[in-house]
Order: sequence, then structure tokens, then C-alpha cells
Amino acid sequence: MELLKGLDIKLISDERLKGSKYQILISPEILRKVVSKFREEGYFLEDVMAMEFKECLHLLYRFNHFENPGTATVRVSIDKEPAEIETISDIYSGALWHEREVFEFFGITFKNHPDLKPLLLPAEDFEGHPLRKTEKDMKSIKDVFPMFFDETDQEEEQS
Amino acid sequence: MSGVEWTFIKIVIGMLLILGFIAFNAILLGYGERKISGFIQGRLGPYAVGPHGSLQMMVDMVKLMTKQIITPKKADGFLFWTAPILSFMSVPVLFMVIPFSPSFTVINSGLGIVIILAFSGLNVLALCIGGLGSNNKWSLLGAARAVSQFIAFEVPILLVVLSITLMTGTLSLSEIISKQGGFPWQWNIVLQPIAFVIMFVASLAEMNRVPFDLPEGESELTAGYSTEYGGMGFGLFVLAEYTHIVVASSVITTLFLGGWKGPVFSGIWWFLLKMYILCFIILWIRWAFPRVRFDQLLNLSWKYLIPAGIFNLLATALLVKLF
Amino acid sequence: MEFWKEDFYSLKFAEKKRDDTIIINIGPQHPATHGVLRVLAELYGEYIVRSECVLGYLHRMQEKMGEIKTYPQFYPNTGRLDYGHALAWNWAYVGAIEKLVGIEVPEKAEYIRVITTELNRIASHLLWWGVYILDLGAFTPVMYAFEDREILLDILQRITGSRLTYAYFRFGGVFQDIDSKFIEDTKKFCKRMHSRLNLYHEFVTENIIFKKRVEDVGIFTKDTITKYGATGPVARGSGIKYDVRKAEPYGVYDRFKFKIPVEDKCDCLARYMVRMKELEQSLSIVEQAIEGLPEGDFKNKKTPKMIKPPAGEVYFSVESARGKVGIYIVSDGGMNPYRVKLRSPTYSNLSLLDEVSKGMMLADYVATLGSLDLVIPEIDK
Repeated sequence: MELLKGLDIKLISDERLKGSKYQILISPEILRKVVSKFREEGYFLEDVMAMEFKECLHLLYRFNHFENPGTATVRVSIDKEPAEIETISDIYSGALWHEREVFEFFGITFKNHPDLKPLLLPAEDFEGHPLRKTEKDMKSIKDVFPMFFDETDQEEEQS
Repeated sequence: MSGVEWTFIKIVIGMLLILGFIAFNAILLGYGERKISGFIQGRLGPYAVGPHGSLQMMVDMVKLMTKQIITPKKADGFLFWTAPILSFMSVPVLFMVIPFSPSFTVINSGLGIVIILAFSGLNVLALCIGGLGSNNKWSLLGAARAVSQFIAFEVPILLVVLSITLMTGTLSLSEIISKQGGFPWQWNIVLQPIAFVIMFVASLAEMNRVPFDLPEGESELTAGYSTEYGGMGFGLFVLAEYTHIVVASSVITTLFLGGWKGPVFSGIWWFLLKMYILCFIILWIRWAFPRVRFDQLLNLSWKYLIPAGIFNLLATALLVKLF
Repeated sequence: MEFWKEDFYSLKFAEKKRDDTIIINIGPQHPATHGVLRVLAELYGEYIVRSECVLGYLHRMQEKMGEIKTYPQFYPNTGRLDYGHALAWNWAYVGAIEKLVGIEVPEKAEYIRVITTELNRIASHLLWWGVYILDLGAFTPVMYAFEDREILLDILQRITGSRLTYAYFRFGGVFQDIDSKFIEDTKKFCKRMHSRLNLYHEFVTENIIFKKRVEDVGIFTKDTITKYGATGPVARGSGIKYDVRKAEPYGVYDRFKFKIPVEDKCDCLARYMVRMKELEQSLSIVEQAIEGLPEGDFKNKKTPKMIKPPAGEVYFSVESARGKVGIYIVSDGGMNPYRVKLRSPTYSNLSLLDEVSKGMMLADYVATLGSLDLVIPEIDK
């Protein structure tokens, strides 16, 4: 991707990941920079979502372009404790609701979000985060998305 | 028997007849509205109760009357229940002065049109206190809309009535009719076409009918001033609304369409025919148009109808002076 | 007994209240919100100072249901997301699974999918058309729209088995073949609809009161659309030529000739016109598809009975009547998905309203809300 030149990103292309034109793995620190680049280039935000693995929480930001279509997925992994990440709602206002949804479903706090409160779930008398997995169901990110990790990493772990 | 007693008895009999007439009209217009809307919308309308659903309104009346009377907990009970009663109470007086035919006139007052203008204004007071008394924000908005709408559209009506009065030189409704002839070209509508249009539009707005039904404005204000009413409270408002349609049609018939006079066999039937045709048009409009926005409504009055009314009045005065 | 308690959202909303305003709840039971959307609005007279949507009155946690059920078990739920255009959601889910597992769809099945989905799109737009005019205060058009929609629902019912919440598509095809009566009825309907559209335009589009109500009302600029990620007719009404059927063609949409209607005015009338023109385009697609309907199977016979995709992920998007529907599925190689994400178009479309509504009149707010073509089950998920 031309637009993200000079940033510390990892482009992944793997046939097991279907449906997105670009898969970009980044670290949480440069998220805002990457998203700003997308905004400048005229991309729109399709959605923000999260999923839980044994090691981490994995966030996906999907972008698309009106004139030059093709989904670009930006992937970020963050620690479970503390589950925090910078908001992008000041860059893309559409993220206001998406982040609130992720906040209530996964308990991820978006720093500097102007109005972080539940969106779909009851605001009072409700505890828990329904899309968090139980111990039994939880998988390791390395099983589900082995392509994110270099082969050398995997070998080291196995040995 | 002295003259005073005779007038009194006449008023009492007239009052009873009028109440019957109001109830009859409410049923007729209610049924007519449903059937007409059904026809316009490609439906059947009421069909189950009685032949062609003709008894539907009776059943509805029974339903409305037997419903439990509920006052919302935080509403002002006195204001809340005064409103529908007041709204309905002012209506029979309006019929007193309407000359259905030379013999069917309860009070042949020299100030007939003034009485109608004065008492029809009570309706807006009813809407206003009903909206305030409900202690509901939607009702409050509806009441506020009703008041400003009434003020805006009372002015053009006054201007039109003044033009007619200048032309005919009288405030008595019977005399206004007697100055018109039996044939359509002898009616006031030919001499005062602008006034007729202004009168018709402004009457629609005064009655809160579509496209000017903003105080109710179902899709905006849920039901406006009548949000909290149910059962007979609501029923009285509806009754008053239908009666106002009849009154407005009667007044327009009197002022512009020659009243009871027709080409042949002048009499009450001509009056009723003209009146019901107007009623039908008013119902028809309701089912064919969307609602205007509030600023558009006020603009219509202050920017178009009132200047046109003033122009019409000046022109009438000038012509009356010249000829 | 305390029968009324200020809830969390009202209390939070009231914190910034001015002294000369009132706060009202538009919904969750309000005729103009078409369901259980609740809008907290601060009113200065007739003008809206600020507003905030409160969602969740119809929340069913569909994404969790997707996780705990097997792939075929969750499939009927997709028809319950958007009751207006259920077949688009059907297609999005079925398409995602087909892409993930690698199931081929016979050509005839693709054509049947196009025909039924476009018919469903027409039904959805007709419903919107009637109800939108109802929002503006006219009672009759909704009956006209329902008259035509009824014919359409009858046609679809014979084939799909349901009238509203369809579950007609199957992995690798459709549930049952279409017959000659279906084709005949559809042809007849298309013919009828062309003349009915003229009537609609005469009756409503050219009405002066209607025009005054929607012109220059609810302006969504191009930047607002991009910021909030709005799609579908809402985006196309703001001059953005984006339609998933053309941008990222799926099924056999690349074989048909149709235009993407675009309007530049950005107001409610533009969105109205886009939808009315889309009706014509959909009719044309249906006619073309029926013309070119190939022979063959309506279902891939080799579809595995048990859907157990390999580990990986898939994202599949289709164009529904309201915008871009996307379904994202992560599989860990088991019987049920690891994560299902449903991207609903009206969710993004509605989110821009809080910003746009500032300074609007209450009646304009209702007109704008209607022009978004909301379906609450889809937003609340």
C-alpha cells in the first residue's frame, strides 16, 4: 500500500483470509497515524470490531473507498490488562457508535472517547461483556490466525 | 303569549334540533370520511356492522361513551376536563345564527357573522387549555401550535368578512343571502373570487384539517393536544371538529354560494346540498395531501393570505365607492 | 409508588440542558420512528438544539447467537435482521459461507437469487415510499404502495415460503426452483409497476406541498457521509456513486446492464429520487434476468451436509435496499464460528443524524429520519 509508506506496518496476504483487498497488521501506538492517513486519502469507515483470544484482544478496523473500492482491514492486538486503546472517533465520527459497541461487548476502554457509555445493552443493572469467551471456548490467536506470525517465531515456540 | 316568551321557546326548540343535527352530522361525516377515504385508497372502508357498515359509527359512539374516564396522574384535572367540554359547548351557538332557509333560522340576528367569529374562537381556547392541562410536552407543543395558527388565520378571515360586509352593507347572514340571486353567476363568489379562496384556505387552517393539521400532527407530535385524551374526552374533540367542518361549510355557503337560493325551488335543500359538497371537498383534501411545515403555514398566512386580503378589501371599498 | 424514574440516558442528556429549552423523548413509542428507536431531543420552541439516539430496545445479541449456533442453524436469523430486505442479508451470510468453504453455485441459482433479491428490493422501497409520505402527513400513498407490495409478496411467498422474514437461499443454491407461474407473474408485475411508477410521480413527486417539505431539508455533505461511513441511497443522494453491486460485483450482477442513480442535492428529495429511480433499475434487472434465465440445477448437489470450514476468516458484502451489508466470519475449524460480525448499513446511516440534526425544525427532523429508511432490528442487532 502506497499510502502507508514509511510506517511500521505488516502487510499480510494469505488465502485463508478472504474478502479483504489489504490486510494490515499494526501495533496500537501507530493506529491513529494509520487511520489519519486513511482519512486523508478519502476512505470511509465500514466498521470497528473486536474478538478475544487467549493472549490478547484483537481489533479490526475496516475501511473502504467510494471511488476505488476494496476493503482494507487494519488489525491491532492489544493486551487484556489493561484493555485500552486510543479512540479514532475524532478522526472518523462514525467510530463513535462502533467504539461504544465494542466497549460494552468486550470491555475495551477507548481513551479520549467523548461519550463512552453502553449503546445496545442496558445501561443500568447489567454486568459483564457478552462477547468475551469463556475459558473453555477460548482459542489461541496462533491457532486461528497462524499467518500473523513469522514462521521463525512459530518454530522457536515449538522447540 | 308575549314576544319574549316566544323567542325563548323558539331558542329551546332550536337548541334541541341543533343538538340532533350535530349528532346526525357527526355520524354522517364520520361514516362519510371513512367511506370516502376507503374509496380514495382503494379499500372498502367499514363493512361489517350493518349494511355497508352504516351502523359502524353507532358502535363507535357506544365504545367511546362506555370507555373508562382516565385522568393522567400529573395532569391538572380541572383544565384537562374543561377543555373538551368547552370545545363542544361553543359549537351549538354557532348553528343558532346560520340561516338554513328563511323559516329555519333560530335567531335572525343582525350581527350573525360577528357571533360566529366570536364563538368559533372559543375552540382554540379549549385546545390551548387542554394541551396545557395534560402536562405532557407533546400536548404543550400542540397547544402552542394551535394558538399561533389560530391567530395567524383569524386575520385573513376577518378581512374577507369585512369585504363581504362592505359590499352587501350588512352583518346579518340572512340579508347577505337575500342580496344574492339563485343562479351561480349571481353569487358572491363571482364578485369576490379572491375572497372565496382566502376564506376556504383559512377555514381549513382554522379547523385544523390536513394539510394544516399541525396541532395534532400525528407523525410529529404523536397526537398533539389530544395525546392524553381517550374515550369521551377524545370523542368530544372529534365531535367538535366535525361540527366545525359543517359550520365552516355553512358560512362559506352563506357568504359566497347564495345560501338557500337555487335556480329552482329555493329552500333548505339547496343550502344542505351546497354545504355537503363543501364538506366532501374538505374530506377529500384530507386524504390527498401531505402536511405543511409550521413555518410554511405561518408564511402562507402572513405573507400571502393577509396581503391578498388587504388588497381585496381596498379594491372592494374602492369599487363600492365608485358604483 | 414511584411510577416514573429518569433513566440513565435522560439524566446524562439533561446535564448539558440550557435553561430555556425542554427535553422530549421522540420514541420509543412514536409514530415517526417506525419501531422502537428513541431519540432524546432538546427543543428550543420548534427547533432542535441537539439530539441523541438511544438504541437497544430491540437488541437480541445476534452476534452471540451466531457464535453459539452452528452455521446452518444461525442462517434463518439473518432474515430477522432487516425485515424490509431480508434476502440481502440471506445472501450476505450464504455468500460468506460459500466463499469460506469454497462451494460453487450453479448459474441458474445465481439468476434466481438476483431475481428474488431485486423483487425484495422493490418491495422494500415500496414500503419505504408509502411510509415516508405517511411521515409527511399524507395517508393515502401508503395504501397504494401496499397494494403493489401485496402482489409482490404473494409472488415471493409461493417460491420462498414466507412473506417477510425469508430464509430462501441455501449454501450452494436456493431452497426450491422457480416455476413458469412465478415467471409469468413476475413479468406481469414488472409491466404493471412501470405504469404505477408514473402514477406515483404524478400523485406525490409533483405535489407542491411534498416538494416544499423535502427540498433543502436534511443536507448530508459528502464529508459527513465519508466520516460516518454511510452507504446506499443515503450516500448516493449526496453524489457518491457507490453501489456494491457495481463496485465489488458478487453473484452474476456483472452480467446485467443497469445504472446507479446518483443525485447531487444532498437533501431529502435527492434521497427520495434515488430510491424512485432504483425501483426502475431493479425492474430492469429483473426483466433482464428472466430473459436470460439459464437451464440447469437450482442447487449444487455436492454441497457438504455438514458445514465445517477450515480455520480462517471471510468478509462478504452485498448491497441491500439500505446500503452495504457486510458479514464477517472467523472460523477456528469447528462446527460453529469463532466470531460473527454483522455490518448493518442503517447503523452507520443513523449515526450521522445526531450531528446533522442541530438547528433543525422538529418537522424537518421527522422528514430526515424518514429519508434514512430505518429498520430498527437491523440497527439493534
